Amino acid sequence: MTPALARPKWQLIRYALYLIPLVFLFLVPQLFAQNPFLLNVLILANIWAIFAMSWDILSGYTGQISFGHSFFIGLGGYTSALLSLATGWSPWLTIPIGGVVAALGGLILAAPALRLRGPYLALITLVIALALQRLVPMLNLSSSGAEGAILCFPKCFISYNVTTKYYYSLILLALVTVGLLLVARSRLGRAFEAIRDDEEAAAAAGLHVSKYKSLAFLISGFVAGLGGAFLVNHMTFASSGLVLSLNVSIEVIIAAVLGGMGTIIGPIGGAYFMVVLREYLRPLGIWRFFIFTLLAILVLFFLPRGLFTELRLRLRQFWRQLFPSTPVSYRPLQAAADQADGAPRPLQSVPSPKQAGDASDWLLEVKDLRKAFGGLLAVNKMSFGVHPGEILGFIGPNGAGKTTVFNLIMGLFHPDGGQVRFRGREITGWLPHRVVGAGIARTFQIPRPFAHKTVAENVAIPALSGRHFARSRSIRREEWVQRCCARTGLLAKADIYPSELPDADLRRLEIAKALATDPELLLLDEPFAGLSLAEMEEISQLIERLRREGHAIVLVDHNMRGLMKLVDRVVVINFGEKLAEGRPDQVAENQDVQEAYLAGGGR
Amino acid sequence: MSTLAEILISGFLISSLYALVAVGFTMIFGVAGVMNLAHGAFVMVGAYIAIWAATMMGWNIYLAFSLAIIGMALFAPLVYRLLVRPISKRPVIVFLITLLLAVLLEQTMALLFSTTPRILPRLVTGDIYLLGINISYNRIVASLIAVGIIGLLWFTVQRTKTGQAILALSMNRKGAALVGIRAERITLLVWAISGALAAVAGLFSASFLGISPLGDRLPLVIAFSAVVLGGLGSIPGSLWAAFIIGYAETITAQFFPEARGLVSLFILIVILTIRPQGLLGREIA
Repeated sequence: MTPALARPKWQLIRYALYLIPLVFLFLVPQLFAQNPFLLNVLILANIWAIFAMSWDILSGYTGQISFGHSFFIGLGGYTSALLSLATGWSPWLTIPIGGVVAALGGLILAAPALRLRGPYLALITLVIALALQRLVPMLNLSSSGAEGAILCFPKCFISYNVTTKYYYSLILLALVTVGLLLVARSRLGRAFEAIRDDEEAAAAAGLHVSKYKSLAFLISGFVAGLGGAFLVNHMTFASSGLVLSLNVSIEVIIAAVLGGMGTIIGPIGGAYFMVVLREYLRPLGIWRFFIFTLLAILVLFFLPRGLFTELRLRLRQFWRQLFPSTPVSYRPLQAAADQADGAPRPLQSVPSPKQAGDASDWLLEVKDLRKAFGGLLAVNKMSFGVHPGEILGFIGPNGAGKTTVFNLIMGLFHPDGGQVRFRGREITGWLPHRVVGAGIARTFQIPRPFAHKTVAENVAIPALSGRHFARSRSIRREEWVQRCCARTGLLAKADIYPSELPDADLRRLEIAKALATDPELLLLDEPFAGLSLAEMEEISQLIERLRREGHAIVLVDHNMRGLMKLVDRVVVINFGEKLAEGRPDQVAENQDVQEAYLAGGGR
Repeated sequence: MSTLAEILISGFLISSLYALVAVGFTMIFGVAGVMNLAHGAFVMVGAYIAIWAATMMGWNIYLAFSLAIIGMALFAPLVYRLLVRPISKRPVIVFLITLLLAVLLEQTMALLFSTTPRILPRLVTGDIYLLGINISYNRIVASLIAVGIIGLLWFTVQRTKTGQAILALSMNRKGAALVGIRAERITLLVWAISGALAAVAGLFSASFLGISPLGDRLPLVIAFSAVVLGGLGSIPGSLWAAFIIGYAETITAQFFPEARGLVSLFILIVILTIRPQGLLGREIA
């Protein structure tokens, strides 16, 4: 019954497949006992795999591209080396501490990074790493080496033989891999992906974007710091060139991108490929770096998706050719379930709709809201309210400021003045996730599904925000997601990707996502735009049904006709100000409204 | 007094070279939407072309300089056409590949010319004694040429059709293409200009600071700092920023020589944190 979230059995088989290379790697010292060079290379490969995965969880999974991972690696490495030098503690103590310090470094880096996107984010990570690289040699950390190097601190892996070190590195790699895979497959991982795919939509789904981004920096920093500390103990020295230089950051990214961004597993392969290539090119002397760089450019240029992703796609194609099967995405049987499941869900007491009520029972109350963009006053003196259980039409010509008002209510913009109250509580200027948590959800005018997720997975993202868990612990999330799909008539398409959905279904998906946050108030931004008459009728019925189930709804449109029989009251705005308010028939006769629409060229 | 004069004059000299580097970098970002992380390496390659021609082949210095400038004006568009354009839809890969290209160019120069620092012969010789300090004519000529080039560029962008096309393209690529601007041709031109500017900066800095292939990536850091400080894609912004950073660097070099290069990084971090769109940049939401 749970089409989207049922895990096929062969998922387990796939995980079991991952064990094969692991077992092989555990046997390597037995198989190649007489080849310490290979073991040394593989130790480095394991460490670089840890680096690459730490990069991937932040950049591949969460979309926060870091070009300065040497910042974390260096922090971890130097912390371990300096602690060892100062206190003589065992590596098994200083390595985790190195990880913790790097994790804190991640939080520090997250502070500016939260405000930045795309190239700016990449830049500041690059710049902070460069700054650390320049700063460390100036600090005179130790007299034992030039360029900030710390040589042969007393407690490191110097007494271990290469096989022991190899096993330690392999165990650390396995632990990190399992840990990161667990993160990636957990709620956290899904939130990370949602933020990568569409940050604003993730916020509208009730996710605390800054918190999740900081967590990504924290986790990534911790893992990279562990790896850095391990590397320093393995090499028995810490130096700028080993852990701090820009080349380290570049190599980490090469490994991760080569393997396949956003796959966690892929970067391990990328790191092995890269490190083995790098080390076996050593005999080439000064040509080594040249050839290595050239090869890296070529591989990235021709396989930008990465080896792992390419391989997976090829395998899948091959698999499909071997076993041509009916597409799994559409299951006609479920269509009937859609019809049957009316999903009566009176979790909240259903207030009787169309109450004339006075100002005291506003569900949402907006007072004197104001917002200017530069010299343009987008919203001014905007006051209106929504009763529990009513459908309010919020209409105005294009550019009147309707969406801006939504964004102000949802906390996407900060208002310059005025108040927003929800259930009597002031929520002005709250961040989106808190507004969603309070019980307001919105849809976007242009549907913004998370493209790489199925319908059910899309709906599962807002369900992460966990509001409904607080209200009713009895419902499992799978069930909840299914119910939201059913209520919007999407159950039969739960396993389809958004790119395969027709426009009307994308609108349903928007509504399903909003419903998944368990809102009391739904803000629907032009749910009818571009739909055919028949589709409009369907969506109208859906909205009517949602109202019967107890949701208050604000419906934005610039077209009055479609709304008239659906809405209880209408607020008309133009040029960011309220023009009229009242019952639909009253408003339609209003002189100002007619003028605005005729003069504005709309209808 | 002479310290102040030293700061004022060498600050101006260094800033005008920074401006050349920064303008080239910001133009490419504006028009092609690409952060060319190999820009710093272009500066170095330009200098090495001239070193090859002047000191190894014994060419006339003017000829060597011209060869370097023309060489880079051809090389940069080639990089765009062969390496950047095919992957331009993947910004991470572009970032990475241009960075790797920088490393590759450094390695190439190291293989061809060894890693020992070299000095390019001066364009003009002689010194002048001014305000209590010695300044070589070469430095004066360098900054005059830099300022002249920037002025010329300014005039081109503001007053000619091509310049207006460049501006339009940096504002809205699709829109510009729709009104009949040949986006591809203009983009190639901008890469050529950017390469030539990098070469000029490389020539002069190599003639009074010397150059080595595996340097500290200072030009790249400078270009970054100036461009981000000024606002990505804003030519006047990057000019202002180049002078702010140039003077900040000169003052630091005077009093805390070991902190050279750190100041621009520090400015960059502060700016990115407080005002990521830069001094004159448009806000990107």
